[in-house]
Amino acid sequence: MLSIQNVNKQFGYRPVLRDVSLKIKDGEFLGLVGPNGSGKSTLLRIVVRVVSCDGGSISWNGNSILNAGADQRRPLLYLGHEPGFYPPLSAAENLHLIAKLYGLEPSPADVEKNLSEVGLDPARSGPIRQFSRGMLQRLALAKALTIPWELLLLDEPTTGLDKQGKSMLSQLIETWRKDDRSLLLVSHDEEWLSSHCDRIVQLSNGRIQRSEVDGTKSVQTELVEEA
Amino acid sequence: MLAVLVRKDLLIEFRSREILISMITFGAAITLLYAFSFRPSPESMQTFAPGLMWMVFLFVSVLALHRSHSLEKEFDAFSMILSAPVERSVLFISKYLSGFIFLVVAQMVLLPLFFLFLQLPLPANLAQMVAVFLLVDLGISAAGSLLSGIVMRVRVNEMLLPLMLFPMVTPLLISAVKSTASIMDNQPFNQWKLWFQLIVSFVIVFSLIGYLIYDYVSEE
Repeated sequence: MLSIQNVNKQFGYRPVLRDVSLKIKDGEFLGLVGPNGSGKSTLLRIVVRVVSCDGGSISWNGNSILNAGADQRRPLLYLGHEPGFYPPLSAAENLHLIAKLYGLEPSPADVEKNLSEVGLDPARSGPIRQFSRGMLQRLALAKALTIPWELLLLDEPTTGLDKQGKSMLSQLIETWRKDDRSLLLVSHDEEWLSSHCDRIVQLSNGRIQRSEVDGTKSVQTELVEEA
Repeated sequence: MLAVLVRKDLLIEFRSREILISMITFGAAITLLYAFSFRPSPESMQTFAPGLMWMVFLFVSVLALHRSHSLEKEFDAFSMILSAPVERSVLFISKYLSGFIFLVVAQMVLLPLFFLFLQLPLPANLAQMVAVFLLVDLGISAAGSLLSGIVMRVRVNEMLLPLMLFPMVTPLLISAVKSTASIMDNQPFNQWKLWFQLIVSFVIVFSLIGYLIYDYVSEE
């Protein structure tokens, strides 16, 4: 279970997150919505320690993530808004490199299979600098197939994806649901989020404003005590 | 993990050839400029040469340090690495080592050019020269990797890096120039021991600082 307690973050004098508290249970799919600049991406980046936080605590299964070693981040996989790859390397080389960072040694066949699964040509050996936004997004999803994770943090995963890409993403999400893994999804597309998430939380001005349980079934309009 | 990260930097450079080509081209251009601008006697050239030499290598090192970190920013690969289960201290050492390798490779090309175009005699004690060069390269790379990690997320980082690096490595460069001049002058080690000790201290201090604080400076 991921537990976020009273997290605060300021960029300069501008507060981005104010006392944000959230819990994601094992197997739960949580959607995070909110207007631009509401702190959604920052929250995700704080969870995986790309961004430092000014106060509060974050733990995974009771173990603090913020003050622990790198191994504590192993169950978490972050797919950010930016692709997170090396442009001069090929898709397969990027996947292989990232797997190695997680202590894995995938066979070329495994990498090829994952690339094919997201609709990328495994035989394509050119640098990913030439990839379109949608292809990079597909490559990011191949990363989620290559690395074993318990909580996946996805920031705007539909960006750049065409109709088939979105449908492939939906299928992958449903497959992950069966594996009892947890998901934290950030998107502007509330309708798309409602169709995949058990609960939707709205961030506005760095505060949690609204939480919907089981899609649109129950709506609480005031600040929700998540802890 | 360290080997994976260093190999990654080398593979990226092997594919893109951006860092070494720019370092060598820039270094060779300044060397040629020196060769055609100064026409002093061989004796006075030997006095100026160490200073000119280290000036070239300092400018060249900035190119490597900046590019090595800006490549991490291009598709936000740095966030991917930070979110992976990789100790940040290991990440610092990998950047430190790859920066050192790039600098040594560039020097292997530029040093013969420097001696050739400025018509300098080869020093009698080459081993001492190599030791000083390797240590100074380690020092520049340690301080530079730490600073690049600090400024990489700032918008004007390409300007900020040299602005912060040059004053920081001044003691190292003065020691490097004095040591190199002494070696080229065939002076006994005892006479320039102090400068050598300063170089060693600089390397130890900045390697340790980088190792200890990279965890904090790498986060936004």
